[in-house]
Amino acid sequence: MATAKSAPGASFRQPAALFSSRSLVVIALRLAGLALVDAFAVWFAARLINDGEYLLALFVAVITLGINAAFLFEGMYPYRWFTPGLALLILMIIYPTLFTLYVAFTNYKDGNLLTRVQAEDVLLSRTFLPQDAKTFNWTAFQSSEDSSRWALWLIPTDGQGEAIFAEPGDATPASKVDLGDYTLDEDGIPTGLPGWERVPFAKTIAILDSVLSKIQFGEDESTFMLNPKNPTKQAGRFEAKYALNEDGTLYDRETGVTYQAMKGTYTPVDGPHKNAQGQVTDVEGVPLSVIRPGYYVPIGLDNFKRLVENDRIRGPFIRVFLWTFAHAFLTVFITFWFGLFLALLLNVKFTPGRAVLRTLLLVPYAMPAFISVLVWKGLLNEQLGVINKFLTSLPLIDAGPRWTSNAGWVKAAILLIQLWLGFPYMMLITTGALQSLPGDIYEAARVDGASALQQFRHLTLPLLLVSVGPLLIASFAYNFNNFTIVELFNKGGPPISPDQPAGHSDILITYTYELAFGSGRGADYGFASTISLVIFLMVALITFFNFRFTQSWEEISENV
Amino acid sequence: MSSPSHIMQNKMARDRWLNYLGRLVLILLALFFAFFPILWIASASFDETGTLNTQRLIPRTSGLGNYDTLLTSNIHPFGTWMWNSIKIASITAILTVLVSAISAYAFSRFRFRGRRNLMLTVFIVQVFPNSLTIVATFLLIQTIGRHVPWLGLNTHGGLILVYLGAALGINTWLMKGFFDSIPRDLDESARIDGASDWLIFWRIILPLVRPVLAVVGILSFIGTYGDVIISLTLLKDKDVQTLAIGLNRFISDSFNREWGVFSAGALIGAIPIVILILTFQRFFVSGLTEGAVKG
Repeated sequence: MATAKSAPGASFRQPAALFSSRSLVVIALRLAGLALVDAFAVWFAARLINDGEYLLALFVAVITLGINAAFLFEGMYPYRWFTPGLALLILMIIYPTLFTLYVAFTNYKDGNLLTRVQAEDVLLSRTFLPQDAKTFNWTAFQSSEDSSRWALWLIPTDGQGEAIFAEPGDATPASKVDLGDYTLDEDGIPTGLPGWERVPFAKTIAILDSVLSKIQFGEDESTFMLNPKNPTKQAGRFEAKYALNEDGTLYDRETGVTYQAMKGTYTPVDGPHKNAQGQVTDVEGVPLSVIRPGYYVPIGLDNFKRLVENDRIRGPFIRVFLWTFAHAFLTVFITFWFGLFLALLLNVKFTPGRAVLRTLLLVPYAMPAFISVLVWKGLLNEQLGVINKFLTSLPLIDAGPRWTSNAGWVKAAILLIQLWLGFPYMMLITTGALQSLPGDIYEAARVDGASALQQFRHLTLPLLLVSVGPLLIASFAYNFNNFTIVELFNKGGPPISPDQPAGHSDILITYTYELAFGSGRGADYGFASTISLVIFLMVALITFFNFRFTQSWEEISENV
Repeated sequence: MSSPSHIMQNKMARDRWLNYLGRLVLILLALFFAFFPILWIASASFDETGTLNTQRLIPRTSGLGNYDTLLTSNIHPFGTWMWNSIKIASITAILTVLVSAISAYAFSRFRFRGRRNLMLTVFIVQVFPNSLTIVATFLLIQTIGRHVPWLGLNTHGGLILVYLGAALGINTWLMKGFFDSIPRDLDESARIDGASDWLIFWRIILPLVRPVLAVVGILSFIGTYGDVIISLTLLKDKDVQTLAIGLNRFISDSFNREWGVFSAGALIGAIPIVILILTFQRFFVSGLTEGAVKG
């Protein structure tokens, strides 16, 4: 940049050439930066591919190529300025959107949470102890540097062959172990090893189940683990339990059963024992179940079919869907009218103290919504809250409304909270709109003998709606997805039916959340994403309507 | 003395006052509605009995016991939550302003192929709040965290990364409008003096648009501070959670017993935002943020 100063005239009207100044330092720095980005991206993408996360790997590749192009080609110069924003937008918004679209057509849920590669990795690393497996007497050693690292000294129980020193990922025959200053005791076990301390047998009992039994010692091909049938004494040479056949089926080397992936779940299809119905069974004739984990696969329209065809899901879903609209509409409706009412009260010229009153009325809007909801949750507590205690202290009222456990009252409570949270905003925007109304039309109306009510209905309201209409629709769209209020007040409850995640005050976004992350039921990301798509569609429609209604799209396009 | 015009004037003045008093009664009712919950928790926070059940508007015994418990309790690390919230919201706000300003400058000053489509894309994308893709976002952060632990689930890095996805959005439009209003003559004369684009942006334009940077920063801060869905999904451990999640956890654990302590926390948590919004309220209404509703 300093070099450019030497030739001010030459750089005039050539901004691009200036920035790409031939200064070697600048170029070197830029290339070094790109090399760093590329190195990270290659490493990251490789690991993603290794895990079977192909779509994400593709996105990482596209983003990285884009960054490289922007910084290497002069023609792409302006895009350099967008690289941070666009990279974040593509990775954190566009990718999740496309992934939601994909997941909605898959069975991504508990039991099928992994990619195919990941599921195979997990299953292929499982081991079993064959009937004729070689067994050993073991002695535990603990690393003196890392106390979470353990190793075993293994002496064959049949006396055949050499002892083995096995640590996770490595096994060494006794003859090759460097004993250092230590010696073998009368049983042939080292009294210690360089970097390792021998653990007295009594001390191993305490960690037998929690630690030692879980560790796989040795390399992948020959794994040593404590023998589950006799863990205190014996260890055995374990072998891989499953083998992957070329046709993608999984062969259980212990039981001889073949499993085939049905919609991502390995299901028994063939084996040495079958019952009369043709089911694969174990030795005792009990049908075998599928093995987990499975992986997620596209299942076509199954999630959508569930929504439409399954009565137990469709009924609650329709309720949630309708309440989502009703909640957003009623929220806008009541806050708008209450806000407008206050704005009109304060809009009269003779109003001493107007500024203070206005500011005070804004305070509920200024509170963070999550705090307001939680406060209201306390006030509306059915037994202990101040509102119900006040109501029950009145004559004729025995019990206050069941704000959180009754299907109707919970909706009333949410609307009450929304009114409190939202009226100041509506007061603000309608005040602004009222102040910008032209005064002369009222003059004309008065001359024509219009009453105050007529003036309001035929002049004020229509003009007002034109200017605040888009804000009302935006507010509708916002409340359509107002997770904070609904989730924090009552988690969408009370439930519509005990076996379904949908609740009486649930809106679509809290329903989605419950399906995916709700406790007690397994996660169902696939179905949750299907509901997300429904919300997407609705938001798109509302926005489209907003643009049509206000013709603001033209305005936006012109402003570009 | 009492000419007809005087009588008229007196009558008008009286009517005016009557009208005002009538309106004032209604406004005071609205003020009662607006302030009752706030007064109620303010009172609760000083009430030494400290439970939802026993609280009265005027506490029988008042003191700072709830505040003391709030700030020293290990069960509910309020100080940590507050600090987490402020830290995350500040970092998000600063980075959002930077990313957005760089992009807005390019939109404002450069003419290039794809500019119009890019601007419209940014506009359309921000119509869909990123809470809609919460499932996919959760899975994405989980996957990223498997390889880059400090950007994974249960980390502030991962959470901020998600918030920054929206950095290039309506803010950029807002800023671009401001940048457009800075005369290009300034750029040109600086360029004649040999300044590069970056230098012009950093040294000349940015200082001139400080107000809009502040507005975008504050909007982003408030939005992040108030986020529930993303932080609730990504942060699981007590010590990394934000105020929004922590306070919720507080009252789901032991609502009645801890009401006083919760109230103290609610008040302290609300104050910074209330001050910010009341100070900058005009930015929330004026055409600047049309369509942007507080999150």
